[in-house]
Amino acid sequence: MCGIAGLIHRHGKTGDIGTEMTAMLQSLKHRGPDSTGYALYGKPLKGNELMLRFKVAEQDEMLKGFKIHDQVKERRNEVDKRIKELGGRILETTDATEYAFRYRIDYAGDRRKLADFIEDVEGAEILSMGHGLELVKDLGDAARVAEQYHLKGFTGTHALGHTRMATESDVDIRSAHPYWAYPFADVSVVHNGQLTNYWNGRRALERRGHRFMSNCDSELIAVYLADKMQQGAELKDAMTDSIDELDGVFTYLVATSDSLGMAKDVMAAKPMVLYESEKFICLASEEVAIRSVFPHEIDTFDPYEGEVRVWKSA
Amino acid sequence: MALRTKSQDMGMHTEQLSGRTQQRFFTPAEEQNFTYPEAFDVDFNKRAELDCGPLAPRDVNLKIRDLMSKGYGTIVLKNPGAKHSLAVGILNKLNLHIEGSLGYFGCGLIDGPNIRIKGRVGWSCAENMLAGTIVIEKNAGSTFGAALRGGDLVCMGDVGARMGIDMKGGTIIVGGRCGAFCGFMMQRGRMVVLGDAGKNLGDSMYDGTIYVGGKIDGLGVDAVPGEMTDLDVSWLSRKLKMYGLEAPKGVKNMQKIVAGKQLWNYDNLEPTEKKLIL
Amino acid sequence: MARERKKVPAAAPAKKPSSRNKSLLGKSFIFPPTVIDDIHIKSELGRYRMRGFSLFKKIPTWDDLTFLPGTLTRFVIEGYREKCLTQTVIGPKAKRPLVLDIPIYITGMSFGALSFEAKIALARGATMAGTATCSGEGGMIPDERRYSSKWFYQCIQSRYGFNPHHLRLADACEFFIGQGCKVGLGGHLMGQKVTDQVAEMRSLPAGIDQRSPARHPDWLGPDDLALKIQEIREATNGEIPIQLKLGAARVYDDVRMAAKTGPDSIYIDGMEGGTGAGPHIATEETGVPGIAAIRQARKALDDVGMTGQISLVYAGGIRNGADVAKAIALGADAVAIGHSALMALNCNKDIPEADFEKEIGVEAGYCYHCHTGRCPVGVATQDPVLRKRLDPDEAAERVYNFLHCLAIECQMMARACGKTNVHSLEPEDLAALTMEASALAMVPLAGSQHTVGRPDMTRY
Repeated sequence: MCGIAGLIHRHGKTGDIGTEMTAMLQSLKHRGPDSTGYALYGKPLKGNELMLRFKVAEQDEMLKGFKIHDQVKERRNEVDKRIKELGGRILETTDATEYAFRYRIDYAGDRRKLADFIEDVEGAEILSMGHGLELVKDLGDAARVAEQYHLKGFTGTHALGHTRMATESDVDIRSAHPYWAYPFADVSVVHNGQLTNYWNGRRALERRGHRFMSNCDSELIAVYLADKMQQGAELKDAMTDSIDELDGVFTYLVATSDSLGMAKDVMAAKPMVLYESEKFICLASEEVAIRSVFPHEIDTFDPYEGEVRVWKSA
Repeated sequence: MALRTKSQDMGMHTEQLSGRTQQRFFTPAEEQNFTYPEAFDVDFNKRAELDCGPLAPRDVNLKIRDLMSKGYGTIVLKNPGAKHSLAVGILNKLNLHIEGSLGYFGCGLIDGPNIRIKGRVGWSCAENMLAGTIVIEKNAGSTFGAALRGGDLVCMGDVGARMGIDMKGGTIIVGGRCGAFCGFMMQRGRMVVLGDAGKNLGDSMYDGTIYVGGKIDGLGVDAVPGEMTDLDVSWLSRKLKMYGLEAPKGVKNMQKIVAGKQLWNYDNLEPTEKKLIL
Repeated sequence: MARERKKVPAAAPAKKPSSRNKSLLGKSFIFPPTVIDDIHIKSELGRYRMRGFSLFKKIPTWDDLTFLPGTLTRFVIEGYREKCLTQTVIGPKAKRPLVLDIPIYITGMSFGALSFEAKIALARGATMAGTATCSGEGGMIPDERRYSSKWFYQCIQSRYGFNPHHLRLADACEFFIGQGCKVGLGGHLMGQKVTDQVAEMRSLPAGIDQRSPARHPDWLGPDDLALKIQEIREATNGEIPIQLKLGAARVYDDVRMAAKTGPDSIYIDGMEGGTGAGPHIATEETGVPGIAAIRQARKALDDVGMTGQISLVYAGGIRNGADVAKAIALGADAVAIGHSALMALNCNKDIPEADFEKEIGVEAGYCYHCHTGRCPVGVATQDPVLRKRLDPDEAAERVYNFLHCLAIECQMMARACGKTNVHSLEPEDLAALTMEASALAMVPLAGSQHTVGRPDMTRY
C-alpha cells in the first residue's frame, strides 16, 4: 500500500530528477510513511562500466548491533574482494551512508554471477546494478532520504519513486521499493497494491533459478518481468502478460535504461494520475504529487483498467 | 422505570472514588443529545476569495465554515493544488467556485451547495453527497460520486472506474467516457454517460437507471438493457440542456440499462417457507 | 423454587437385558447426523445456508484461561468495597475523546437486524450504565441518538443511510472494515426483515435479500483510508475519535497498518463474534479467536509505538465479567458486547408470550434464527406483533443490570489481582489451562513457566 511516482524527460533531454522526484514523493508521504525509494536514471556509463549500489546492513542493525561497525567494514572488504576475484575493477567508491555504498566498477562478466557472489556475503544486498540506474532506498520520508543520500541535483532522464506502507512484510530496507529486476541491468519496478498469488508465483520463479531477497510481494513483479525479458519478450508484452498472470490489485511503474512504463490491473483499484505532454511525462498515485512539479493549470487524467503504456526517453 | 441506583440496591458506597458503575438518572424526554449541527444562513451576494496555496486542508475547511458563519454565500477557492478533502461537509446552500484541481474526497459529505470546479477532481469526489450541484470542467478520477444520495454531479470530461458505486439517488452526468465497474451495486438514481462505458457496467445493480450514449464494453451481472421511453427522452434532453451538454448520437439513440432484479432474492425460485427453516 | 427430590430406590431393580443396539459398529465424527442433514438440505437448495448467532464449533476461548490472583505475594484489594477504577477513554489523542464509565460498551447492531424496541432498550440501558452504543449499519434512528449519551456512528461499506448531519451528532465515528464472525464479507439482511421502513432508510427496494458490499465504495486500500479518515475529520471539525473495526484475521499486519492510517482507536472483532445473518460456512470458517487476536493487536500497537495513543477495543464472545477482565489483561482497553447484550434483552429466553418450538422449531436456548426475522422475543425482528413482546422499559433495565454486573465482575477479578484500576491488568496475571490456549494467548501453562511455542515466558 503505497504511493508511487514516475517521470521522464523526452527527446533525450535531462533534468534535475533528484529534486523533482523528492518533491513528488514528499507530497505522497501520507500514503507510505515507512520507507522511501528512488530509481534514478543518470547519464549512461560507457563500455563495461557498471554503477553498483549495495548495502551491507539494515538501519535497525546499525542501531542495535554491538560490533556492527566492524562487521560493516569486514563485509565491505569481503565484497571488494569478491568483485576483484571475478575480474572486476573498482573505479570509484562513494559512501552513501555508513552501511550503503555506491561503486563504479568495470566488469565484463556474467552479471548474475557477480550479484549472487556479492549477496552471498552476510547482510549484503545489491540494490541496483546498471549503466545508468542508481537505486536508493531507506527508511523515513523523502526529505530525509534525499538529504542522507545527497540526491538534490541528480541529473538524469527519468526516475521512479516510491513511498511505502508495509502490508504483510517487514519495515526494512530489504522490503522497500523500488526493486531492481535481478539480474537485468537498469530495470527497476515500483508497485502499489498487493499480489495475492505471490507465494505460488515466487516458488515457480525460484524453481527457474531466480532469487528473492525479501518477502515483499512487489519483488515478484520485478523478477517476473526480468524472467519474461530473459526469454526474449519486449517490455510492453511482458507487462501485458503480467496483467493476466498476476492476481490481486496493482498499479506498477517500470523503468529501463531508456523507457518508462506503467500497467494497471483489471480491477482498477489502485490509483494513478497521468500528465502527458510533448516534453515531459509525469505519473503519480495522486495529482498532488504532479502539482508539486507543475503548480500551474494542466490537464491530467486517470489511465483505465488493464492499461499498459510505455514511453521512451529518446 | 426505577430511578434508584443499582449500587444503592446492593448496599454499596456510591462515591465517585469507588469507581463502581453508577446508574445515571435518566428521563426519556431528555433531548440534549439531539440537536442538529448549525446550517449557516448565507447571502449569495456576499463574496469572498480564499487562496488555498499556503493553507492546509483543515485550515481551508475551517476558513470556509468561518466565512459561511459570517454570511458569505459566494466563495472562490484559488490555487487548490489538488489538495485532499477540500470543501468537505458543507451542510447549507453556498456558491463555491474552485479555480483548480482537487485531490481525493473533494466536496465529500455535502448537502446543498452549488459548486463549480475549473480543474480535475481526484478519487471519490462528492462522496455521499445529499443535495446540491457540482460541475467539473475537466476529468474526474475513480469512484466518482460513490454512495451519492442526491443532487446533480456533472463531469464534462472523462471519468475513471467505479463511478456511482453504491449510488443511492441523485444524478451523475458524464460528458466523456467512463471506466469499468460503473454503477456497481447501484440502488437508485440515474447515471448518464455520453461517451463510451467500460466493462461490467451496472454490475449487481439493485435499481436505478443508466443511460449510455456511446459503446458499452460489457454489462455486469444482473444489468439488462431497458427500453427508452418518451419520459426518459424528455428527462434526458432537459437535464443535458441544463448543463450545456449534448448526446453525440442524439438523446433518442442512447442505450438504457436497468436492473434485471434477479439478485433481489437469493432463492426466489423456491417457496418462502424454506427460508424459515434455514 | 424447591425441587422435588427423587426417591432413592431401596434395592437395585432386577437386571434388564441391555437396550443398546449392538449391531451399531460405531458413529462417524466426520459425518455426524447434523452434517448429513446439512448435505441433504444444501443439495436441495443449491446454495449456502444462512443463519444468525455466532460460532458453533469449539475453539480455544476465555474458558481456557485462568487468573492468578494475589495471595501472599500480592496485596489484594478488598473485593467489594475498595476503589477500583473502571473509567475508560477511547481515542485519548482526539480533541473530544470518548470517556466511558465502564470498559464495556454495546457494539454496532443495525436497526433492521434489530427491532426499534431493541435498539432503544440498548441505548437506554447503556446510557444508564454510563457507556456507549453504536448505530450499526442502516443509518441513525433519531430515538436511539436521543436515548444515548455516548454514541458511535458507523460508517459501513454499504453506506446505507449514511448522512453527514448524523455524523455531526456522533460522539465517535466507527469505520466498519470487517466483522470477526465473517471476516472479508459484507453484511446480510434477509428479505423478511427488509420492511418498507428499513428499505427506505437504506434506499433499497423493500423485501430484497440485502447483501452489503465487502469493500468501502470510496476507498480501496489503506493508503486511501488514511485520506478517508482525514475527510471524516474535516467533516467533523477534527473533534471526535475515529475508530476502525477490523475482523480478526492477519491481525498483526492489519493492526500495524491500521495504526499508520491515523485512527484514534482500533476495534478487533474475534471469530467468536456474532451476526444477525450470515452464511453458516463463513461464520464457522473465518477469523482468529479473541485470545490470540488481542495479543497480536497489542503487539502491533506496541511495535509501531502507538500504545497509549490509539485505543484497542475487543469484541467477540464476551459473556461475563471474567471474560472482560481477561480481554483487558491480554491487552484490550475496552470491550464491546453484542450478543450477550441481546441475551440481556431476552434473546433465547422462554418468555410466556413466545412458543419457540412452534414458531421457530427449536427450544429456547438453541435459537439461532435471527436471519428469519421471526424472533420470538421481539429482538431481531421487524414484525409489529413480535415486537410487542419486548417491553423497552424493562429491557433497558435488564441491559443496565447486565452491564453493571459485567463491570463489577471485572472489578472483582482486578481487585483479586491487586489492582486499583481495571486497566492495570496484564497478561502476566493469567495462566492457560490448555496447550492451545497457552500458544494462542501466549501466557504460560498453569503451574509452569512454560509458554507453548515461546522459549521464555517473560519475553514476547
